[in-house]
Amino acid sequence: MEISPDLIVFLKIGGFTLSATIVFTWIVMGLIVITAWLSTRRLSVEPPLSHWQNLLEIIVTYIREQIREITLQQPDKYLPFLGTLFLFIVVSNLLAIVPGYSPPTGSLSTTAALAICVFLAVPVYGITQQGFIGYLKHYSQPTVFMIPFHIINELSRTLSMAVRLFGNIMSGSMILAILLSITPLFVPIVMQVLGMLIGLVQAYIFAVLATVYIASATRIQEEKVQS
Amino acid sequence: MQIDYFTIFAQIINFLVLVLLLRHFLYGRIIKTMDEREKKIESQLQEAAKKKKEADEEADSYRKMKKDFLIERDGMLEAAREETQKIQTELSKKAADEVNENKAKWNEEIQREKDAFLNNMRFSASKEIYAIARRTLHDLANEELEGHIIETFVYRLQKMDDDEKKKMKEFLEKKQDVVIKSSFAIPESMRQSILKTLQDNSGDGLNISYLLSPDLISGIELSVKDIRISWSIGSYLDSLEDELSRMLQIPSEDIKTKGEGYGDAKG
Repeated sequence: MEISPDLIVFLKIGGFTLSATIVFTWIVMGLIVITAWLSTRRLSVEPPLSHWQNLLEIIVTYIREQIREITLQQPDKYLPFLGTLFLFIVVSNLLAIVPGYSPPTGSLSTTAALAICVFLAVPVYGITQQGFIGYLKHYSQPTVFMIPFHIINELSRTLSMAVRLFGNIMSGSMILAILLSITPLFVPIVMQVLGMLIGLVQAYIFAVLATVYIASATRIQEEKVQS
Repeated sequence: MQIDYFTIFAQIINFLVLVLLLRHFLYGRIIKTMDEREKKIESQLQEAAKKKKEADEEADSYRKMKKDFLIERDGMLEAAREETQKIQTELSKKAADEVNENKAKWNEEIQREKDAFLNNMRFSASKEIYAIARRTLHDLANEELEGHIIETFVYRLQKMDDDEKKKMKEFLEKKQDVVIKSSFAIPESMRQSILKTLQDNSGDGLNISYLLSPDLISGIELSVKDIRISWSIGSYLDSLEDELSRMLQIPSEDIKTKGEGYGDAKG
């Protein structure tokens, strides 16, 4: 039993290791992209809509509404990043039901990568909204002595995001593995369902936290503009 | 728990690639489709609102037309009512006039019938009175009365005016027959008295013939050419008849015309 899919190595060329994390990530990516491509090849403006189009529209609409409610801004500029974050984590987690599959989100490398993306996206969106200097100014609010704390805040929340997601998914897999060895019948099924629920909730938490961080970086600018 | 920096880097690249792919294959298309649908629905709503506005305007127009129609209808009804009232008044007046006219005609007819009845009654009464008087005098006639009649006749012969005497004399001198009509037989003594009176007027040689004429009620008449000297109760009765007719406002001619069937005596 491997704790992390990083430890499953398919190919190693020099310093580059092709682990199960990357492979399963490609599988997840391929699944999402192919589904999206197949579903959006023939979109219909007027009813009747295909089931897949209907499902995707519901998902996209739901994500947009969530972003709109949290950021109180137009959601479309945040949708590709935050939506992809949510969809990738959800699909990665839900596919854990497939035997032999190891969710990439159970790898600290993956969650760290996603957390780094969020860590980078926050200043990118902030600078896009209020400019480089304007964005940096909020680090000195309310006093310049708060700059180190702001930086620590940024780093710690990124770390917490990565570890939270990794810990939940990894623990779910671990518990399932342990239960399989103790009570191989019935109980693992319940835990599998619970694991899927946890995966869904964690995806939602990760995406919502990312949205909140981006919103906090962009709404400061709006409040200043209003004042 | 270990971190592979290559894996982290690869996952970052993978995630960014996924973001770009989904942005192209999922979000862009889905949002575009939903926006098109939204615009279409918006345009349909605008079209519906426009049509609703047009329908409202049309409904207002129809409401106005209906209102105008009702006003016009009320006006026409009022005019028709007035016209009906007018016609009713005219017909009532006409009917009243006709009734009055018929009433007048009826009254006139009744008056005429009443007058005719009264006239007939007056005519019958006068004729009856005349007939009674005539019959009474006829019944009362006797010799003494006839003597008085002849004396009166002789007296009238003697009292003729000059013009009559002259005509009488001229006639008698031609020796023409003298006819004396009477309703009774004249005794010889009376005939001599009459003859003497005539001879006193025109001399001798007179040829007198006597005729009985019952029509002369208790009367006597002498006729010579266009001279006629008479006395009879009939003449008085004629006067009585005239007087009765005059009093009853019936022309005597009418009575005479209508009373021909009753018998008559004229002097």
